[in-house]
Amino acid sequence: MLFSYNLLSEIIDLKNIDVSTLTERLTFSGFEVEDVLKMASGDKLVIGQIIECKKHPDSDHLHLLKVDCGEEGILPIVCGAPNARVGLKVIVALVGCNLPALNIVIKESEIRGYDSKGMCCSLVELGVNKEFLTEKQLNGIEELPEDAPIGERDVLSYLKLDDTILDINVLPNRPDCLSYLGMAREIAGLFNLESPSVPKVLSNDLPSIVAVGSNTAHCVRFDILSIRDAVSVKNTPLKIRNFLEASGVRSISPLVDLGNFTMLLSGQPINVYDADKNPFGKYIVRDDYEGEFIAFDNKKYELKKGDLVVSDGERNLCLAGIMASIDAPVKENTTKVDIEFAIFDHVSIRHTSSRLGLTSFSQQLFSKERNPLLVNESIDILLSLLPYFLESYTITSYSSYDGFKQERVRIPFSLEKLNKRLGSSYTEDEVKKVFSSYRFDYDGHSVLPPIDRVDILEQCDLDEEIFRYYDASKVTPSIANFPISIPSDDSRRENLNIIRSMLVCRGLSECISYTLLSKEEDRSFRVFDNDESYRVLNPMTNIHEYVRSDILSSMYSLIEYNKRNQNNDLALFEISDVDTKKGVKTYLSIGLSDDLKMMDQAKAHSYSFFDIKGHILSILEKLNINPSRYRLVPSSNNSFHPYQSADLYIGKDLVATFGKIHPSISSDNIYLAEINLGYLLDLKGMKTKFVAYSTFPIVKRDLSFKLYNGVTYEAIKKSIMKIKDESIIDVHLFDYFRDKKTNSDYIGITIYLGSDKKTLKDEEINASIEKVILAVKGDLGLVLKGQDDE
Amino acid sequence: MNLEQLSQAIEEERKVCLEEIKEVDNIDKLNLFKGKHIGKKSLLTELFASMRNVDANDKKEYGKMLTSFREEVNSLFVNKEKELADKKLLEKINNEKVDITLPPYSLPLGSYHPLTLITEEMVSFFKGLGFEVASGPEVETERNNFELVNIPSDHPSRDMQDSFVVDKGIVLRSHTSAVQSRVMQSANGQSPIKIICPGKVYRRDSDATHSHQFEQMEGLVISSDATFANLLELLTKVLRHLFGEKREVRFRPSYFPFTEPSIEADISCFECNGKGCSLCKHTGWIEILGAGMVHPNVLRLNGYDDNKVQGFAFGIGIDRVAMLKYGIDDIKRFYLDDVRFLRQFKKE
Ligand SMILES: [Zn+2]
Repeated sequence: MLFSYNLLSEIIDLKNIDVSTLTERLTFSGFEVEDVLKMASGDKLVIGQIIECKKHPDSDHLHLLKVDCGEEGILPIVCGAPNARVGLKVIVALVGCNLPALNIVIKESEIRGYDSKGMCCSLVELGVNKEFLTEKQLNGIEELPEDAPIGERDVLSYLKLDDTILDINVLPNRPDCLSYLGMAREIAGLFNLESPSVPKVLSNDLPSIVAVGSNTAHCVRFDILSIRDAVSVKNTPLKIRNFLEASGVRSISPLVDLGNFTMLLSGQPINVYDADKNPFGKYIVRDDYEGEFIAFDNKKYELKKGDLVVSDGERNLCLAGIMASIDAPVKENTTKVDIEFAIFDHVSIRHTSSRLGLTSFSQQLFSKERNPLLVNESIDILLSLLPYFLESYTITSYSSYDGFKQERVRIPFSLEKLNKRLGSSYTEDEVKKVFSSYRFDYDGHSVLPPIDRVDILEQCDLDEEIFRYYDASKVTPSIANFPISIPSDDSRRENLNIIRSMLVCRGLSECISYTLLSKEEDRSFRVFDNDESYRVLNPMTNIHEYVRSDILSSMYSLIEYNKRNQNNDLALFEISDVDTKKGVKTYLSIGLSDDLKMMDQAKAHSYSFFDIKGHILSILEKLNINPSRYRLVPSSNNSFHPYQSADLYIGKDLVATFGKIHPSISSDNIYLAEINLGYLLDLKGMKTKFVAYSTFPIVKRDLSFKLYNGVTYEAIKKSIMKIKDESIIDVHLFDYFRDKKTNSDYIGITIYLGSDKKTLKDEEINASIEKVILAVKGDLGLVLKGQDDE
Repeated sequence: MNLEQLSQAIEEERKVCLEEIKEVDNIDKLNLFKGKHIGKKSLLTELFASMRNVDANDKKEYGKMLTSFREEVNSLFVNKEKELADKKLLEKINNEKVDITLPPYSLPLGSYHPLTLITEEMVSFFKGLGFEVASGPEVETERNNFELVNIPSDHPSRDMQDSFVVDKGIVLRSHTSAVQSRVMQSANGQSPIKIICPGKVYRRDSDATHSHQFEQMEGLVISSDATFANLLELLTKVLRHLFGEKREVRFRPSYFPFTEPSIEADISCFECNGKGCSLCKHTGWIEILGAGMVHPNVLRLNGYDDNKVQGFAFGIGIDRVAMLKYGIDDIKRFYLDDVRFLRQFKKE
C-alpha cells in the first residue's frame, strides 16, 4: 500500500524520524518498504510569469518567451508548449536545475538561433504520476493560479508536492495496517511515540430515523449516518487531493473523495447512498437473495444464496461491500446522502468477489478481517473530515445495527516458553517494553491486545511481536539443541543420481521441461499409460493444460524446439516424476537426433537404433539387471519405426520402448526412448558374487554364415549356446555386412573356447567347431560363407 | 709361435678390428664383423687352436693374452651392438611424434541441468546434517497443500498463491510445503523429523522471474527443542555454502501462514559486495528465502502436541538461486532447454 509521508506525519509526530530512518525500521520489523518515491522533484525551480510570447520565426510550434522570475530577473526561454501565453504563471526550471524525471540538468542553450535560459515545466517533467493528471496538464506546461507568488523558490512546497511516497508491503496478517491510522499506530509502537487517538465527534443525541438491520450472521454491524442539505465544496482541497494521489487514489469529486479519504485514514470501507433513491429509508442486509443483479454499470451478475446484498426491503441497493446496483448510483448534485459503515464477513466478501471476478478498493478492505468495534472511530474520522468536503450540511440521523458479541480474551504468555522456542534470552523488561509500546495490556502471565489487532490469537503471535520489535540479531544463531538423527536408506535416490551421472558421462545433456502440455502433446507418444491425463480446470493457456503422464512427447518437443533453433546433433535426457491417475511414476526419456558428434578427431556417425539401445542396456547393466531377466521384442508402439524399435519387458511388465521415430511423424534421423526408471530402481539388482575364471588359454575361432529368412543374431547365439559342449564359452559378433553384388547378408561370429581344467588340443577345438556348424545348420538352416550354392 | 710373435699378431689384429668396427653402421655389418673376428674362421679362433704347439712354459701366459684379447674384441662387438640398438630405438621414437594439442578420441561430456546442480548441492549439504529427502505427488489435495499448513479456504493468504485446480479439492501443489503435512501425518506424532523436499511446484503466474512451473526446496525440522536460533544458524551456513563464505546474511521479520515468527533471509550482493548495483536493485542485498518457526496450528493439525514439540521450516526457490548464481536472465530458459544453454553446466 502507498503511504504519504506527509499525511503520516499529520497523524503522528515524525519530527525526529526522517524517511530513511522510518524505512529502515519498518523493513526490519516486518513491513518491507518496497519503494520510496518522491511525489515530485526538481531542485532549482521558481515561479515566473510570461510577459512576452512571440512565435519562433523558423518553427511552427516554438515560442520565444520572456519570463519574469522575480529576483532571477527576466529570462529568455524558448518553449514548445501550446498553452504558453502572456500573463500565464508558470513553473520555471532555472539553469542548473536537476530534473530526475527527465534525467536532465537544465543548461543555458541556443535553440534554433535564440538563447534559452531555463525551461517552463509541466508536472510530468517534475515526476508527478501521469495517471493523476488531466489531459490539459499532460499536453502543456502547468498553469499556476493567478495569485501564485512570482519569484517563489519553494515551488514543490507551494504546490503541496514536497512529499515522499512509501510503498509498504502490508502482509495478510496485518489488515489493520491497510490504513493510515493503523500504520501510524504501528509506527508509534516501533518508535515509542504517543499512539494516535481519534476524538469522539459523534453526538449521542442524534435520532435514529433510518431503519437498519441484518438478517444474516455474516453482517454483525451496519450503521447509517444521514446527511441532509449537503452542499459540496467546489474542489477537494489541493492538499487532500495530493494526499489521495500520493496514496494511489484518483481524486474524482468532493463527495467521492470524502469516502475514499475516510477509507484511507480509517481502513473502514464506506458506501455512500443517495437518500432520494431510497424513499423507504430502510437498509437491510440479507444473504438469501437468488437471481440477477444489475450493477451500476449495467453489467449483469447471477447471485446465489450466501452472497450479501443491501436492500431497501424491495430492491437490492448494492452487492454488499462490492458494488452498487443500477438503482442506486449517487447523483452528482445530490444533497441527501446516507453513509454506510458496515462490517461484512470477510470470507463471504472474498468468495462472492472471486466468484464474480469483481475487485475494488473497498472490496479489498472488506475481504480482510476487521473488528466491528472500529466502526465507531471511523464514523468520528468521517465527521471530523466533513468540513473539508462540504460547505454546509446537517446530520439528521444515526442508526446502528450491532449484533457483535464482544469476546475479548486474555492470551496466556510465558517468557520461558518464548525463550525455549526461539533459543533466545529476552528479559522480562524487554518483553514489557514491547507490550506497552504496542498498547498490549500485560499482567506478567497474560496479554490483552488492543481491538484493532485481530491477528493476535495465541502465544506464537506474541513471540512474533517480540522478535520483530527488536533487531533479529537478538537471537544468536546456534546449533545448540539441534536434533541429531540417523537418516534411513536412500539408495533409490542415490541410484537415480548414478544413472543421471552415467548418462552425462555418455554425452547426454539433462533437460527439465514443462509438466503441463497441450491436448495434442499429451495425446502423442504415449508409452506406458493410455488413460486420460489429469487436466487443469483453470489453465493460463491451452498450451499448458494437461498434466503429462509420460515424458516422451516433451522430449520430442524439445528436439523440435532445438532443431528449429539450428541446434542439431542432439543427445538429451530427462528424468522426471509424473503424476498419472495410477500414481506417481519416475520416468526417463532419451532423445537423439542427427549425428553422434565425437571430439573432432574421432569419427562421427549418424545415430542408429544401436546407439539408443546402447544407452538403455548400459542403464540395466549399471543397475546389475542380468540380461536373462529381460527380453526385447519388436515394439508395438506405432509412434516408432516398425523395424527399428523395441519394447523391453521384464516378466509381463513393459519397462521401456525405444527406437527410431516413425517416418510419418518426422523424416529426420531421430531416436527416442521412454523408460520406467522407477520400476528399474525398485527392482532388486543381482547380488554381486565372485566367480573363479579359468587360468588355461582361451581360443577364438571365427565363422561367417550367409543369412536367410530373417534369422537373427540372437537365434544363432542361442543355437550355439545350447550345444552340450563345456568347451564352448561364448559367442561374439565380429561382423555384419551386406554383399552389394549378391544382395546377401552375412554375419561373422567369434566362438570362444576353453576349459578350466586343461589347455584344449586342436582336435578338441575342431570337434567343437564342427558341432557349432552342425547346430546352426540344423536349427536355422545356415551354412558357412563360401559353402552356399552360389 | 712364441709369445713375441703372438703379441705382434694380436697387435695387428687389434688394429684391424678397431679400423673395421668404425665402419660398422648396421646389424648386417656387425654380424660380418662378428664372423670375421670372433667366429669359427676368425684369426682369434686360429690363434686359440695354435695353443697346443706352444711351449709348455709359455702356455699359461699365451692363454692369458688371448683371453684378454678375446674380451677386448667381444666388448667392441657388444658396445657396437648396443650403440646400434639405441640408435634404432631413438629413430623409432623420433618417428612416433604426435601433436599433443590435437583433440582426444572421445565423446564430449554431456551436462547436468542447472536446477539439478543447485538441488544436489543443497541436498548434499543437508544430508551431511542428517536430513532425509522426502517427496510427494504434484497432483495434491487442497487439504495437504493448504488446510494442513494453516491456509484454510477463507485465509487471506490464499490470494498470495493462485493455484491450478485439477478437480474439486485437488490442485497442482503450489509449494513443497505440501510434502510437510504428508511427512508429519505419516510420522504419527513421532519426532525428530528432519527432512528436505525438493520438487516442482505450480502457480498461475508468469513473467521474466516467474514461471507457472518452478522448483522449490522445503526443509522441516520437528523435535522437542529445535529452536529459531538453530534455524538462523542453518540458513547462514547453507547460504554461505551456496554463495560463498564471504556473504553476509541478514534476517527480516516476515509473514507466512505456516510459520510464526517468520523471516526472510537476504544475502549481501555478490555482484557489488553491498555497494549497490542493478542485480540487488541498489540495496546491496538480495532476498533469497523464507523461513520460520512452525506455527503451532500446523503441528496440531498434523497430529502433534504443540506443548511437547516445536520446530522450524524453510523454503528456497531453486530457480531463483540458480538464476542468481549463474547470472541467468530469464526463468523460462530452464524449461526451454536450448542445448546452447544446457551445455554450459557441467559440474555436479
Ligand atoms: Zn549489488
